[in-house]
Amino acid sequence: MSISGNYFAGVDVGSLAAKSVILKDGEIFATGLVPSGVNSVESGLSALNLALETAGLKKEDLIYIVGTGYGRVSAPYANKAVTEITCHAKGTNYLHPTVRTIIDMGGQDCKAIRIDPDGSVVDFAMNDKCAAGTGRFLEVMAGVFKVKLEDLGSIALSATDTVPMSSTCTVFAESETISLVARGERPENILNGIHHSIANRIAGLFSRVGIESDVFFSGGVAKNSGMKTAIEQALKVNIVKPEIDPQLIGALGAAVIARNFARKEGLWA
Amino acid sequence: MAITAPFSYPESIKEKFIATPGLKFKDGTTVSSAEIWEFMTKEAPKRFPYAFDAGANNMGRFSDDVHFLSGIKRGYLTLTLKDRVMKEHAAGTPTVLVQGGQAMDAYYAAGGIPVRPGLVMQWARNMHEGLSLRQSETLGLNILESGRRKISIDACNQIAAHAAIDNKVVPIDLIAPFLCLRCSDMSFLVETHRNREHDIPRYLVDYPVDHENKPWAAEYIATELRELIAKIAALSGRTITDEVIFNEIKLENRGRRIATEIAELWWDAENPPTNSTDFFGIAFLANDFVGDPVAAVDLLEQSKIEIEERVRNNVKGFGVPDHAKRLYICGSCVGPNAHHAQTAGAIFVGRDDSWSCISVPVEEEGDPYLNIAKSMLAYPYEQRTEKRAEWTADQVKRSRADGVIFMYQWGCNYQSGVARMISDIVKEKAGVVTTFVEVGELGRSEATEQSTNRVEAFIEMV
Repeated sequence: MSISGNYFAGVDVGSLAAKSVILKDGEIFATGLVPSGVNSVESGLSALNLALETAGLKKEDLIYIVGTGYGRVSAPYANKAVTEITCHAKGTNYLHPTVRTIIDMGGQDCKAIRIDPDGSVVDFAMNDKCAAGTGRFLEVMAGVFKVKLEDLGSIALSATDTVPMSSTCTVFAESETISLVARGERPENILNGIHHSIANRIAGLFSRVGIESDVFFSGGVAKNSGMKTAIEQALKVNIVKPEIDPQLIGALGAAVIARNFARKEGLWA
Repeated sequence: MAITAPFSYPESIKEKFIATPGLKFKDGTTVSSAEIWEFMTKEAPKRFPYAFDAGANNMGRFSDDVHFLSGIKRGYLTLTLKDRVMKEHAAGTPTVLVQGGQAMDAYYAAGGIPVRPGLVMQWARNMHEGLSLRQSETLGLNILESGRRKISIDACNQIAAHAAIDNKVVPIDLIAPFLCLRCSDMSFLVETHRNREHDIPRYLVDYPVDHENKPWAAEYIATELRELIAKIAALSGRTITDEVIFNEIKLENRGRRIATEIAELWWDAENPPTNSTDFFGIAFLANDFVGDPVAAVDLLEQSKIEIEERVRNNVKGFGVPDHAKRLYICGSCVGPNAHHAQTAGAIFVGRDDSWSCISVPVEEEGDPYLNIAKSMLAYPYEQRTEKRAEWTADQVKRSRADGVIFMYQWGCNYQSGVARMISDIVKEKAGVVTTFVEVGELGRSEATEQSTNRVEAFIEMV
């Protein structure tokens, strides 16, 4: 079968999920999303193969691949590696050119990113050495309440009150939660407090890089409606509605960068 | 873990290398370049295999620029530190624990060998030979954790050096740092050695932190220096006169002057004449002196000739990326991995901590104690934070840096407190992007993904 079109791929191997996006002639053609395993090479390849399968393509049909995320250092299938901060900036700019501020919350870190009209990063700040305020933190909390991760946000939004929570340590917050439950506090109020504590942590990152409209929320945690609301309240902003699954933004940015690299290296005109 | 072939110097450069001058040492001996070559190609790889680990993560990895011959001699000084200090110590020379960023004129003049916490750990790890990088770091981490157990699990990684002394891994005869606010290490040091069973004498040089517009401050420190030098001299048996101190001041001033000239040459060059490893390794000899100021100054002089020739011929150092982004590094103890940064397209052009005491020569006439005291009070790194930041901004502009990374070790309660303020002021005054990163890897090469990620993202942004 002959394949027509110019195909570029981005593969984002994060701590919880591996994602891929294939661009065809500048448009999103196929995507892949799988849980990350211990072997980051296999995780990245699984995500890429899923997108290739969906698109009916072979790896050889791709002109250029960029790897990103913490697994980018082990991505032999990629032509180049770029950090996820740059990729989230490019991916967001590709979908929403008016965005100047990005909140990216992934499995193990959260980032405040400022970008210019070209989608280049002009400043960023990240959480240091702590999983509090990340997807992993929410995963631990979902485990405490024995609810699905994807239901946390809607439960928090049904709260009638906000319980003040620690935002500095996942383990301390977990024990705090267990003791609140034991005291008879309502789960939705505790979860609301957890979401607000994370949002305040994010707001702290923005105290240095600043906020400029429009604001976008990317990464797996962006699918959590309770977190979106808490961040909007903490930062006093409206977050732009994503056009695609926000967890795919890093991989999308990597694919956009792959296209740019291919052009620069004369592989595609 | 991927296995990488050990680093080695190619035979093709041997002839050229052994034709270069050897190194003179303070005991009057000279080591020929042929002897240095033998050590660095035969003896050292067997005794200290960790140093020849060619993995990109090895923070202390040798420079790949094997044609920069002074770099090989720099490696020799590093790897012979243990032998030299142990030999001198056995002959009665006292070893003295000092603080980072502190000029060493007084200590050497009094006949001692001053060693900073970083050098103590290098020495301690080298007491066990034949170790791979992982084995050597595990040894260091075991010492570190023994220190934390005695003091606090929240102590910064510099506690390792004090544990190495407390555990008698290395022989130290006097604990005599000056007590400034550059580093939480000072608090942990005092706590480690406060009530220990060891019998190492202490003389803590009090440093008036808020010394601006306080005319008494210099005389106050000078008085302490007189006592300090007398204590070291009592251990070394050396008779100390003003002339002896001035001779040491003149030698170390020469080192500081040459280092400054090297930096000026390097900063102004169209192409960086060396990579980051060689630039920092050579220029900061005037900050550290690696146990022997005579040898350090000798190597600085040789290096300057090499760098001048490279600049004259517009030679770019091996490993320097094309259109390299120029990064200025701030903060004590830790810094980004030079090899990773080069791979990501950046080169390091300066470092505030290491440059602080190099930038302040000691006056060579008058009262030597007062002169050293005045220079200690003038170190830019020890000024109030706004003033330190303004000096850093000037350094950033002078070195033509494109960005600044302020890195500090987890547990450092002082640098963590000023990192943002300095980053913000430098950003405003120098007009470059800045970032600050907290890391936990001082003394460790593995598991550095978090800090590497931040540094790479910053380089991409620059």
